[in-house]
Amino acid sequence: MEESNDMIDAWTDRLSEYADDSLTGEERALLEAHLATCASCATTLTGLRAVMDRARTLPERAPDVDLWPGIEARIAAFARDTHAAAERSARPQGGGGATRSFPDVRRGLVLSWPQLIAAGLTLVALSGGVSWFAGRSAMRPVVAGRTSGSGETTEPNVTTAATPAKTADGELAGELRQLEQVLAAKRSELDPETVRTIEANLKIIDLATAQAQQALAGDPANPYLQEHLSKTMKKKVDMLRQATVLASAQ
Amino acid sequence: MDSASPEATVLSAVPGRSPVPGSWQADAADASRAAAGDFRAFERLYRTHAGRVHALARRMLSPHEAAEATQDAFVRAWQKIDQFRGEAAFGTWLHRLAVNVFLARRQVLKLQRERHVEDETVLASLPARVAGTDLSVDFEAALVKLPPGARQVFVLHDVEGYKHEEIAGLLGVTTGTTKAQLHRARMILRAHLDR
Repeated sequence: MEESNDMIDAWTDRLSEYADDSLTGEERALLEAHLATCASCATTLTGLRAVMDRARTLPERAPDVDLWPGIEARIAAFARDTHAAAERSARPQGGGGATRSFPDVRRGLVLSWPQLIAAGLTLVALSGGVSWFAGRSAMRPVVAGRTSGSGETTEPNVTTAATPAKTADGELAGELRQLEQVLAAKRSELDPETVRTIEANLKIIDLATAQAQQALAGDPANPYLQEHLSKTMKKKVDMLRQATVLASAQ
Repeated sequence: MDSASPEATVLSAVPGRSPVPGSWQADAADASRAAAGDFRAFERLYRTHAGRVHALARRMLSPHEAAEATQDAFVRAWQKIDQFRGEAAFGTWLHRLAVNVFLARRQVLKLQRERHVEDETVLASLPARVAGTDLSVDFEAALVKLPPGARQVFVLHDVEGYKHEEIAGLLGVTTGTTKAQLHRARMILRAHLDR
C-alpha cells in the first residue's frame, strides 16, 4: 500500500525518537513496518544515526590561549572583595566568623601583567561610567520616578541611594596607588604602547573622578543616573573580560 | 600549599601517596584546597577541565564567545566551590555549573538577535565538505550554525548525554519541545553531512 507524503512526513518526525528508543512498543512496531517499505525514511534514519555517532565522539577543544591568568585576576578581585566584606561585617563583633583565607591576594603586589591591564581597564571602565554620570547630570535635570526622555529606561523608585563614586573612591584610590607602584617598577618589561595606554587611562580617571565628585555633590542620590552607571559598567566589564583574554594571549 | 590537609590524606587512594593527577581523588582534594583559598589547587582543576568546559562553551554559545564564557564558568566555580560536597565527580559538578552559566549568558546576551535563523537552509552558507577535511572540525562548524534553540538541545542531549527531562528543566520548556528541537537539529546536520 502506498502512503501519502503527509504520512511519510509524520513517520519522519518520529525517527529521532525511534533512534533514541523512546517510542512505545506499539509505535515502534508500526514504524518498523513502515521502514521496511519506505527507502526514504530508512535512508533518513541512517543519516540521523550518523549524526548521533558523530556527536558522541566529538573531541574536547582546549582554548587557543591560556585563560588562567584572566581567571586568576578575576577570582583574586572576588576574593579581595569577599575578604573586605567579611572584615567589615566581622569588625563590630570582634571577629569570630569563619571566612575563607586568601593568602595570595591580601599581601604584596601579586598582579601579573594581564591582571595589571585588566585592573587598569577596570579603573577606566569605572571612570567612563563616572564621566558619563557627571556629563549627564550637568546636561539635564532628572525627575525621580519617571520614564527617561528616551523612553527606554524607567527609573527605579529608590528613595535612598549610596553614592557609588564615593563608595568606590577609597577602594579605587588604593588600587590606583598599587597600580602606579607596579607600573613604575615594571614599565620597562611591558610593551611601551601598553604603558602609554594605561597611563593615558589613569589621567582620564583623575579627570573623570573630579567631574563626578562635582556632579554628585549636587545630586548624590539620583537613581536614574545610578541605573545607567550600572548598565554602563556592566558593558564595560564585559569588554574588560575580553581585554583580559587578549592580554592573556600575549 | 596545604598538601597535608586532612582532605588530601583521606582522599588519597594509598596512604602516603598523592592521588593520580586528574583523577577523581585528586580533583576532590584540590577542590577542598580551593575551597580553603588555594589558588594553585584551583589552577590544577582548571588545567584538568578547561578543554571540556571550553568545548561546551564553543558548542552552546559560539567559538568567539567561548574563551570569555569559559572564564565565567571557572570564576563561578571558584565562587561556589565550597558547595561542592564530593558526592559526584568534580568534573560532573563543574559541567553542570558551566551549563547553567552558559544558558544564563545566552539569555542575557540574547544571542538569538544575531543569529535567529529559523530557516533550515542555514547551513547552505557553509562550504561543501572537501575530501580530507577533518570531519570533527567540519561538524563543529555546522553545529554552531544551527538555530540557537536546536543547538542547545542537540549539544546537551547528543554531545553531553543529558536526558530530555533534564534539558527541559534547564531551558524551561517541555520535553515535547526538546524532542522536536533535537530532531530538527539532527535533520539539519544530516543534510549537511550528506552534502
